[in-house]
Amino acid sequence: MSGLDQIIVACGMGAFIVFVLAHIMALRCMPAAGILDAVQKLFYFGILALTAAVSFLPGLSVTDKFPVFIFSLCAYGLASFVYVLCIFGPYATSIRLRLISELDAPQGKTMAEISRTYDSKAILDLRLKRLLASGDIRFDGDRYHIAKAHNAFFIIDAGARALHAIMQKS
Amino acid sequence: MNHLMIAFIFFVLSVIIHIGYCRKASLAGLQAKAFILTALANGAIMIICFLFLTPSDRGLPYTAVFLYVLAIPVYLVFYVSTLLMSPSKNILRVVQDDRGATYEMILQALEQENFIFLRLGELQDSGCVRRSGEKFVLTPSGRNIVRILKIYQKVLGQGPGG
Repeated sequence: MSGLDQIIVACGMGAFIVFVLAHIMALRCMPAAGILDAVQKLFYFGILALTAAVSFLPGLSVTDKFPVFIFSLCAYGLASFVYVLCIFGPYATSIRLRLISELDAPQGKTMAEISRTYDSKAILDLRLKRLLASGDIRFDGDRYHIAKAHNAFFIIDAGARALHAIMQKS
Repeated sequence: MNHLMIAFIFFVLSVIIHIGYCRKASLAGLQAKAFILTALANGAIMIICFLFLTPSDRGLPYTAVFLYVLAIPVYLVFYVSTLLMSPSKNILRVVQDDRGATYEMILQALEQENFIFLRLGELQDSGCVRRSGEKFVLTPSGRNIVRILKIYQKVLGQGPGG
């Protein structure tokens, strides 16, 4: 393991730990509706922390600092992406995980009992609040409209559709 | 830099093998395990290849392995999205109309998909929930997920999501 190798992994993981800790602290004192927007801002905060850490690294020349920054940024970006989409995202938005929480009763629940606390209306209300808070949609008093044409959902959806098209048998 | 190039080539190779497998296989449902196994096998070959590279002060083997491991779930996220419809995507598709959409229009679209019934079926298929007469009951693996979920909720100080 070369010196640069150690520094890249340490910087990437360090920025990721800063992001996770900042996100835990921020979420503990904010309402549920704004959490997705907060996560996005905290990701940028992690990039700032990484930039600062790399620029103040002692004993490295400028030509070394540039690849260290680029590769640790890749490591940080991937680690954060995996954390948000595989751990935090499912916790915050997964219907399956919510249903498992709802069914946490000794005798289980019937469909009617589940629907008393969690139904399509509850699913919609939660998502509209989040999408409005993140600025992805806007409400004009009567109708909801798209506010951001290129939001994360559409980008991931476009990628998934492209992959799906490739996977289809010709 | 050689390590990063090799890691990239092995990752692309894993994706190509998986896509080829999905195009050939007539199996229904997600083939995520096939990708994980392919990526792990390719990862092992990649690490063996690293052992044959001349050691250098500028080699980045750990960075390459680190990025390779992290790229696996990223691909899986895109892959799973090809087969799953999420309510948020559904809402955005309805709202995408030039004139926008009212609350009732969006609710109607969500009710047509019947997400709760669909997801309960998936939970039964994955063995987290079982049917006991009219009731849905958690299995031991479902109860383990609830335990982890409660710890995570306490850490974040938030209520249940959904």
